[in-house]
Amino acid sequence: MIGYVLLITAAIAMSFIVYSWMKTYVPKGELKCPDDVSMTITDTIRCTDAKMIVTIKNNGLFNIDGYTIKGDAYKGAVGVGKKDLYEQGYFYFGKPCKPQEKDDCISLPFGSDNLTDPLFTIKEVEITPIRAQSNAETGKNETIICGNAITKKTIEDCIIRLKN
Amino acid sequence: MNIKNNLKVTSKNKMNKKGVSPIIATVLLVAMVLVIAIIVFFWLRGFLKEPITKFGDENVELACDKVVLTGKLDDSQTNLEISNNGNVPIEEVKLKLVDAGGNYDSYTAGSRLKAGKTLRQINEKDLTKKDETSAKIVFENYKKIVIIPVLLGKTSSGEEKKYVCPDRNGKEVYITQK
Repeated sequence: MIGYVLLITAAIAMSFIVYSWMKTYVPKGELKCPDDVSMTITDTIRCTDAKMIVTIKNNGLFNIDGYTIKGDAYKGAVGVGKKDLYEQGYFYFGKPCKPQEKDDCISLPFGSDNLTDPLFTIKEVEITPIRAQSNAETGKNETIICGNAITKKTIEDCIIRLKN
Repeated sequence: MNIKNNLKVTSKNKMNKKGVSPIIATVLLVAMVLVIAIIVFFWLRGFLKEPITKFGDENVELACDKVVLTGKLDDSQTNLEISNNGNVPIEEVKLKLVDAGGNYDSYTAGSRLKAGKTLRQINEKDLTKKDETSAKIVFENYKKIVIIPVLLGKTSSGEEKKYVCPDRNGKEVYITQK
C-alpha cells in the first residue's frame, strides 16, 4: 500500500517538475503574414518639389493596412544606406487597401517639409506591407510586418528632402 | 544423524538473530531515497538555465527562430546595414567576424532594432568588444560576418534579461576580398 502511494506521489512530483520546465518550450500560435499577401508599385514613382509620390496596388488576396517604405539613399555620390522615407516609420492607409483596388491605396507624398533638411538622391525604393491581424490567443488585433512580401523598385532622378 | 542435528541447531540460531523491523527498514529506505533525491535535485538545478520568456510565456529560444534579418555591406565594405524584416523586436546585434582560418572576433552593436527597421551604417565606431572601450576593425580582414540577434526576455521573477540567440539563428554576410 505504501509502495503504491510513494510511486504515485513520485510520478506526480516528477510530472509537475517536467511540466514546469518544458511549458515554455510549447510554441504559441505564430501570427504570420499569409503567403498570398502581395503589393506592387504601380506607375512611375514621381518625385516633385523634393517629395516622392508612390502609388500602390494590392495584387494579393488579402487586405493590406499600411507599409514601411525605405529608400537606398545617396548624399551626392556617397551612399548612406537605407533610409526611412516616412519619418513616423509605418505608413497606414485610412482604410485597408483591398485586393485589386487602387483607390484605397493612396499614400501621402513622402519627404520632409523642413527646408533646412538635406536633399538625398533615392535610387531604389523598398516597400514592406503591414497587416493588422487578430491574434487567436489574446483576441487582440496586432500589427504584423510581411517580410515575405517585400517589393523593390529602382528609380532614377529622384531627389527628396529627408531628416538627416 | 549428527550432521542432521547440527544443521537444525544452526538454522534455529539464525532464526533467533534480531534485525530491523520491516517497517523501520521501509521508512529508512524511503527517507534515504528522498534525501538523495533532494541532494541530486539541488545539485542539478545549478546546471539548468533559468527560462527566459518572450511574448507571454513562450521561451525566448523559440522567438529566435522567428527572427528575420537581412544584412548588407556597402560597396566600400566599411559600412554594414542590418534590417529586421520580421516581427520580433531585436534588442541589439552581436557580430561575429570570422576570418579565413575559422577564427572569430565578437562585437556588439548596441542599438535596438524594432520590427521593420533598419540599422544603417554600422562601422567600427558603433561596435564594442568585451573588455575594450573601442574596437578598430576592418571588415575586409575577415571572410564573413555572422549577425546574431540578441533578444530581450523576462525571467520568472519578472526581471528583464538579454538572450543571445544561437549561431544558427544568425545571418551570414560574406565579404568580397579585393
